[in-house]
Amino acid sequence: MFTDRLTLRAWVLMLPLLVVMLAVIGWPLADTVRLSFTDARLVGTGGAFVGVENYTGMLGSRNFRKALVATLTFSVWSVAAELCLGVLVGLLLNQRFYGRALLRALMILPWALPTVVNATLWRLIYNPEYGALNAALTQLGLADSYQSWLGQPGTAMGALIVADVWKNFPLVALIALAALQAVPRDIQAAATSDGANAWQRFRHVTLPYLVGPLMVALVLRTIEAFKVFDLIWIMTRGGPANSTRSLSLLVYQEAFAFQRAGSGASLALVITLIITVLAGAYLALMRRAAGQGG
Amino acid sequence: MSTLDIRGITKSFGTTQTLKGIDLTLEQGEFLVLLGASGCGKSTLLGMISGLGTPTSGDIVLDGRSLNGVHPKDRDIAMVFQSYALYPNLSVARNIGFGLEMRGAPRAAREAAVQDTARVLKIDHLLDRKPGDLSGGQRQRVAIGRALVRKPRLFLFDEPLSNLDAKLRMEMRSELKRLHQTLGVTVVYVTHDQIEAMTLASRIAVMQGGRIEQLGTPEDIYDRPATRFVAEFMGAPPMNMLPATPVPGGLALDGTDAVLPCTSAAPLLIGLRPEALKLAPAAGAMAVSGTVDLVELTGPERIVTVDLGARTIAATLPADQRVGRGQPVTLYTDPARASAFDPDSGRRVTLAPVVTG
Repeated sequence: MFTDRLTLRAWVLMLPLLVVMLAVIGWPLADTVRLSFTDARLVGTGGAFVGVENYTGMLGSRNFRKALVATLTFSVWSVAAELCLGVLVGLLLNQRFYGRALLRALMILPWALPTVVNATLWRLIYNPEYGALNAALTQLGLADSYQSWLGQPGTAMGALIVADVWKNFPLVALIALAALQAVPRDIQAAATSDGANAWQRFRHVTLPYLVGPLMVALVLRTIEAFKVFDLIWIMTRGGPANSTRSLSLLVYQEAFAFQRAGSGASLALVITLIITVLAGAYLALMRRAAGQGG
Repeated sequence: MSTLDIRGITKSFGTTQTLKGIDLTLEQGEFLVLLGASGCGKSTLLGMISGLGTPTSGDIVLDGRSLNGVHPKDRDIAMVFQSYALYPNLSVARNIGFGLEMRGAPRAAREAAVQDTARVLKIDHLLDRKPGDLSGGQRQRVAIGRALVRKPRLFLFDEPLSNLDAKLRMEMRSELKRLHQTLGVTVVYVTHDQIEAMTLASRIAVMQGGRIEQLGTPEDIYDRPATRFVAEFMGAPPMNMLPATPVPGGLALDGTDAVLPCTSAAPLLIGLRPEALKLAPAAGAMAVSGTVDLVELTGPERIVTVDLGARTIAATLPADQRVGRGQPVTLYTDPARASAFDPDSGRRVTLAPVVTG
């Protein structure tokens, strides 16, 4: 009886939140699903039912495939670089040295910056006329002339990835550092005395402690990278020649710039589906981690 | 043949000196226990021998080879940690064989060695398990196996039994003693537990404040403590310490009628082990009288605290000797079993008996 009453009270207390969530998430989602089967435009009325035409048309289009490749390129390279750099920096910051606390605090800074600030900052660095990168490269004698890093299809994606890695590796480093501090010193000492060299100690002793937390970081970062919008919007607007147009940018253009609400909705749902799969992987990992912990 | 020679080892951390000159020589097959309270420097010393710490000055020589600057993995020394320090992600078999694996031993030889070691330690049925699935005692066996399998010149144990419950601790203690007797290996063992030290050691080094207070066999340490510190550190309850003043014919224990028949020019502290005090009078025995203040039954023994007026004295009597609180008693002891210490330096003083006749 007691538990039943408690459950009832919980539901009553949760009800306002559920209603709000249904109104601001449930209804738009349902309406997006409806829209995705119509040829509705953003402005104007109606929109006739067109079946799965939006999906087939969009998934088969060159634009979608190109955006998917751009998104995957961005996600895979930036997440891979963030993980490698994050672990290395985590290992460094786990050593004892003078000024460690200060460096640990400084490391967080890029991650604490809003993306808009970070993107603007990197756009200045990459500026073809007065950018710091061009100045540094030419003054060091590494380049002959100034480059338009964000204006050339060959370098724009790389430049974006560097900007994203700069901002997001501290999160991975922080997670790695926390995991490293959980490695018992006795085990390290035992491995040293067992004859393991530095690489073997990392491989057999340290890494097993890192794998779980790093998997979580991997999935979280992948979801974030897959949805990337603001960084690209500020730095390249998807250019040059749409070479950095991610799926999120494509949805925005389709639905709002070209005002095709129907096909924009179908594209948004496809992205939502992909991210749901990634989120599912994240939850499964968390559950496994919790199971191991207990 | 493994001999260990420790010469003038000191260790300073900043301005604090944790080891103040340690000299020790260990013969093949010895079981040396470093005994002391926490902070006495015993674990620091063990770390220096293993190579996980470096001494500020001094030299450690194993079988004629100086270990200064030698990497831990090249010392041919194995260490067992208090926390077991097992690799949680590896099976028991790989935990035991890890040292051989890292040294590139052939797979077949490695597996045979792991099997043999596991059989000796009675953990051969656990080889496929992970450390997380084992009990504390089993983990301790795996940790010992990991050291044994390498057949090192020297074994180091850092409080290996401290994380076990009382019953298991006794079992593993006997197991370690048996292993040492069968394998004849050379061991340096760190503990703060005097019973472990007494039962396991061939020699004990009692440490305090970064120095060795006394190095000797368990019998030496217990029966002939070199300093007041050792006398009071060993034994439960600790040795009774009674101030004594020279009088004609011997040393009078202050506050009692007892006179120890020996000559001394200066006041001394007389140490009497609680179990050397008895209720039954004997020829030549020295007697102290008082009233029973407290009786504690431990099972095999009855620890009786007797109020002598100015001070109290503890006596360990057989459990069947019933005494009650408030009862007047006289305790008798053989003067030959008494220890004497200089009250200022705390050093042991050899008593010269009074020549009679």
